Amino acid sequence: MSPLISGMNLVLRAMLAHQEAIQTVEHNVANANVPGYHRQEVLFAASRAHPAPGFYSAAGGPGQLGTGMDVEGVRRYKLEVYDLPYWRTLGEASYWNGRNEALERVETALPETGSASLITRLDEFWDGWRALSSDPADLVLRAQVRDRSVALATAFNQRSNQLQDVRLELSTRMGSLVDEINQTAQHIANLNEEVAQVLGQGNRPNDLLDQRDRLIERLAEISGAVSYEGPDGQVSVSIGGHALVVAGSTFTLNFHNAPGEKASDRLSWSADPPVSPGQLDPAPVGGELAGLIGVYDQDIQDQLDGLDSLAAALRDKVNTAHKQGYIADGVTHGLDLFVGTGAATLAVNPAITGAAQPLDLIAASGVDGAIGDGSNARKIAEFQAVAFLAGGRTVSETYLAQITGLGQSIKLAKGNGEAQQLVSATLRQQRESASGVSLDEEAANLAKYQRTYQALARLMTSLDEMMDQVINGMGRAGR
Amino acid sequence: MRVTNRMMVDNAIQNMQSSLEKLNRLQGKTTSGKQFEKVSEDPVSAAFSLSLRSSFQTAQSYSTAASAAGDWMAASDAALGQMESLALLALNKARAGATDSMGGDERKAYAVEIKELVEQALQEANTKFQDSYLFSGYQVRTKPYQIVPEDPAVPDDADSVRYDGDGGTINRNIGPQQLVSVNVDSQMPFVALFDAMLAARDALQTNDGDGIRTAVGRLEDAMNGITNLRGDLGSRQRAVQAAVKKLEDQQFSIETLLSEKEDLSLAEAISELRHQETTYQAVLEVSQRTLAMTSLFDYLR
Repeated sequence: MSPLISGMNLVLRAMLAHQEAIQTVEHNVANANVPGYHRQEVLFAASRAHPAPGFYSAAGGPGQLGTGMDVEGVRRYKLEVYDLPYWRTLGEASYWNGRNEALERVETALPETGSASLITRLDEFWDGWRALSSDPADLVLRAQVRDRSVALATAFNQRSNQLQDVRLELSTRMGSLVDEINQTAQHIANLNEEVAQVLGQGNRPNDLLDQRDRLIERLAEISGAVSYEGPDGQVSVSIGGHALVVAGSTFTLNFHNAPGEKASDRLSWSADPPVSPGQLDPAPVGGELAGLIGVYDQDIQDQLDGLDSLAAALRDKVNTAHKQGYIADGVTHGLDLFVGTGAATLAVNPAITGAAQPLDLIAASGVDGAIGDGSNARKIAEFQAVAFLAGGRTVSETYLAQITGLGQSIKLAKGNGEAQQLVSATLRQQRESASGVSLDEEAANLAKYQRTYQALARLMTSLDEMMDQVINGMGRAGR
Repeated sequence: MRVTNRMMVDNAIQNMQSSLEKLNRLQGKTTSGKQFEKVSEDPVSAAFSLSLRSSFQTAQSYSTAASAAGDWMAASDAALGQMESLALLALNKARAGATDSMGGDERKAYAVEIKELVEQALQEANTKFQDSYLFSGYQVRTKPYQIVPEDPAVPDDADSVRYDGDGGTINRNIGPQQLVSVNVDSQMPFVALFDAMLAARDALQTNDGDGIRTAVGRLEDAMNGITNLRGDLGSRQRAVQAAVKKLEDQQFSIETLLSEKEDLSLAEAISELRHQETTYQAVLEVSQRTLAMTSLFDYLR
């Protein structure tokens, strides 16, 4: 009797195991398009044989009788060798792409290829003075100089304001990225606890792990975070060497609302004692956030500083000359033409624009009492070709170098972004190759499990027939 | 390598994307006709073309200034030419009047004619060009020459001419660091001419033969003075014309260079666009097959 009943048990266990395998196939197929899903496979293993002392065994020694098979576990195809480099390049690609997008936004604030470029405004300004030098008594030409001076100052103002607007946009974006980092960290911490619980019960929380990996991937993308999985199955995540998630707890990153400060100074860890700006170095090592911080702190600042120093140099040079010249009455020296401290505040002196006869206050003449002399206007016009800025450059050359530098940065960021994207695409392919779901493979597995299940069912039938023989057919001899 | 369905779909999407991106860029280029629209697309060419554009604008403004200087000088030259011929007329009248056979009445008639010529010469000396007096130096708003009538209270006084200008030299740019003075210092020769004409007139009026002959000599000298003035202006005018020509040539060559740097070769761009369109078609064809591909599930029974 006993081998028959144990045989039925054996077959039943195998049938249940195959049902489990078929369910896993279904799970794989269902998740074929879920991002970050790692395919799963039921691991079969022959169950522990038991010694069977038998009549025929030599010297009564134990024989080994197979007891069928068991499900050993459900395996998740995850290879850290693929995941870790993929996450790292994802962070780098995202750094360059974020930087590229932000820099392109900066470029739209400085539209220098069109007719509204600052260089055109500068040329028009010099040309206005040159035209006035030909006919200094002409009111139309004087009006032209005034209008072009105003247009030049406005062009400086617009650029400065636009750059500040871009900063504001970047600031909002950085704030929402920091929020996302904190929320994701909290989510990971919660998952850590669940994972630990399931592992404690001796199960593999495959789908929870997938979910957690997906979150870690997102953190790597936006902040260059790195993670380490401990022996207890819980991950620690850190950004730039500072812990973000440890087991079930998180350390929140703060982004302070202090628009005047550098972006890197506005980031701090809430758990740390407060430090003065500049002492803390919590800047994310990579990811989109680092890209944005770099543009905010470095590139936009450079553009603003460049515009400011250009505006100041131009203001001083033109003012000095303008004050040496004579206004239309031929006796009085000119006033300052420009006022303001930088690109944002540069303006034509309100004492000129607000005067009763503003055009008379333009100092075109360089000779006392000579209304027909335009030598002062000519002197100002000739500043166009005078290299009075740092590095022996003219105003236009300085600005041209500045925007060409920006163009080069954008080109570099774009190129690097594309290169990193290619690398990360290749790594994703590798990872997908190992852990993705292949429908053909699942179909083959399904067929395999199904056929085996059918065979097992047949075994069960024959065991049943044997039992029937034993129970209903035995002991009826002679009846 | 193990290949999954997802990989194939991802690849198909990526290929379509990058192909479409190239197509989009080429279409943008072809429609705008420019090599680049933003500096970042080609920083080196952009820097070059921006500075070229700046040079072009500057050359244009110098060109305008040089043409204006040329116009001013042409107006001066025309006025001086008129002065010269008026002086010649006066000289001829005076010479005719100087002959001893002339009677007092005939000389008086000449005197009236010369008086007329003085009026005309005064108008020429006070010529205006675009609201500015040509011969008054810096004082372009002041009428330079006036006849001061004789003061009867003063003995031996005669009509004279007064110069109200300041003889200032008006310089103009006709190129970078290139200056030309557009006006002439008219005071000496003009005053000499007027004085000689007035003297001739008075001598003819008073029938003073010696006086007429002296006036003829002075008129000859004054006319030479005007001719010299014209010659001087003429040589400067030629310099201005050369400068205008040079600036025009410069503008033309800058324009050519700019077009080389900025403008797209349309033939090249369109054939590239065609090629990319074909590529995109192929990518779509392949992608369609990938996406519609069946799996083993369709065959197992």
